[in-house]
Amino acid sequence: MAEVKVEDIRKSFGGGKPVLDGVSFTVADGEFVSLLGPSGCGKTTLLRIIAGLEYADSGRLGIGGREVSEVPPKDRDIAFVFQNYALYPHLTVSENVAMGLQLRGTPAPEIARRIADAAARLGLEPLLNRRPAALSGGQRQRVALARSLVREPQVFLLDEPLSNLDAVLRERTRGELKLLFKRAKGTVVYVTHDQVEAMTMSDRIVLLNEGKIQQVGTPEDLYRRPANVYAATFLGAPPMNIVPRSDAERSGLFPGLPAGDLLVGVRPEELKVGEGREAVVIVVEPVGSHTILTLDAAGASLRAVVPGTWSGGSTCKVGVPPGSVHLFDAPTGARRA
Amino acid sequence: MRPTVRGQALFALAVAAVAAWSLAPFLWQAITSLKPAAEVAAVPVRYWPSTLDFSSYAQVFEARPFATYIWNSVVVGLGTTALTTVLGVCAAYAFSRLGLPGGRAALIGILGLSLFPGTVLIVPLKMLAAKAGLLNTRSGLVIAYTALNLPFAIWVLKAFFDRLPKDVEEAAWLDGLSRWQTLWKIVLPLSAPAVATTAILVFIFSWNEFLIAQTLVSRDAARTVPVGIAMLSGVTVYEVPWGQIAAAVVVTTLPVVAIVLAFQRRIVEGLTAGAVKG
Repeated sequence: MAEVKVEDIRKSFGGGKPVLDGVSFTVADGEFVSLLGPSGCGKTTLLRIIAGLEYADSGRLGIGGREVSEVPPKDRDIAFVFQNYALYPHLTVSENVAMGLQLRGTPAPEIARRIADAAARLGLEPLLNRRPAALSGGQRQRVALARSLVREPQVFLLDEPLSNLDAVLRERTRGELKLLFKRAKGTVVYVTHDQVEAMTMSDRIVLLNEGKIQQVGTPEDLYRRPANVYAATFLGAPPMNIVPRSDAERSGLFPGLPAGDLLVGVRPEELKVGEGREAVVIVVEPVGSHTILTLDAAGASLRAVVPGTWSGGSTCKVGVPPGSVHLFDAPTGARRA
Repeated sequence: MRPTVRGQALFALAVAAVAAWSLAPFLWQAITSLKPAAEVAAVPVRYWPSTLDFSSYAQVFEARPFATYIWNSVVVGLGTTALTTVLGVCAAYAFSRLGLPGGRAALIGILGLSLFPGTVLIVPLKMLAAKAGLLNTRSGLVIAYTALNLPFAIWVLKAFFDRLPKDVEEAAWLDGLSRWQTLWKIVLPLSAPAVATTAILVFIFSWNEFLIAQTLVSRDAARTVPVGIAMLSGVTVYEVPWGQIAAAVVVTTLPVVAIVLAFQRRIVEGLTAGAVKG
């Protein structure tokens, strides 16, 4: 197993706006790191550069202490799971899984052992002689995983492997995947636009937007101490409330703000509803386990999460507990405190 | 929508009408080839022979070295098909995947070349073939036919390759396949329907081609069937040996029908086995 070192990677297509604009981070040996960001943020391009399917315009890339920028994909000792699985349609499941091993000259008994092992782990035994067309989406996804596992590579690269599954299956597979790669003791780079996947599965998250890293840290870091307004609003459902200083002062909810052009942030789930200042309830969105309220506190628009069903009326009291306020510099969006 | 009985009957009727329309000339040839000489051009028309007479078939092979013609057609047809398919696959794959500089212009140029009518090409072709010592050879025909069919093959195959998911090829590289191995082990099996279709059409073109074969070949040793049929003649200038011509047509059409049917099975197999489903 190996660490992945990404240093100052830059990439643009056809000389246009850079897709990746000086991206650097390191994935430690055995670590599960998610590249998280909206579509078009460059996360898939970055993964493809690590795999060798694209080449960076500049920057360095190391896998297991070896500079691999110019190494062809097959010699990087990585496995890649594609978003749409990219199985060979004309080969059976076991042929699909065996291909990479055969080409590396793995002896046949060893191939058979590894396929049997992966098939057992992923519940593929009854499907080994089928072709991909005869499999469901979830089954294909597991074949794609098996294909990467049997290779026993230094690094697993996964490109939104859950995005083609339905919601129920995605939920279940998330946990399975986490366990699977923990057991495989692999270094994992996992691309997703789904913050829940990133939060639940990762040791650390690399948050990308417009080709730049917004924040690197543990899920806890990103949630508790977002480095900028982008990170603060990308994570969390609903996202953090961001209020301009003037609105914040007018509402009277945020006393003692320091000087400067500020944006004030507070997470909806940390707002105290029922005590504090008067606010008007504008929208009520019941989700089942909790309810999301949109409030107007003297001109400051805030969303708040309250447990259970909302039984209050069209007004309520709302308060901001001390210590739950995040301050960002308005011009740059960077965190102040 | 559930098919109604009336709808199905209409469909069957339509299919039968199209089939009859297409097959009638061939059927007429087949019947003519089996008529005794006296009934071939009888007035009023005899639709059905009084007895089945195979003498026209014997006469075809006596009058002209038809076995040689057929062999030549087979060699030229297979040669053209093989060469066109191999070159077409390689070129189409390169156009589709390698992002060649000027690739688009080259493709349009290739299409432009194929727009020249055959008659314009005849004289220069003959001169070229003479210079290259390829007159009266089967390889001369193979080269000419390949050149004429390549634009078609490249366009059809490129269009097909463009639709193949790129991910599958990338997965193949990650698995360790080279470009050539990817083409051979992944792309070609997935493209079997397109390759087979192209091959069939090229073979049929080559099998039926008359103008160039007539121009480049003037000896029996390399003559192909269409020219051979045209050379069948009666005892006098005024006699057209319809029976023999019909027999020759039947003899030379049946192998093509057999080959096409055999390939067609592969096409259907390819379609069902290779299903690329997202």
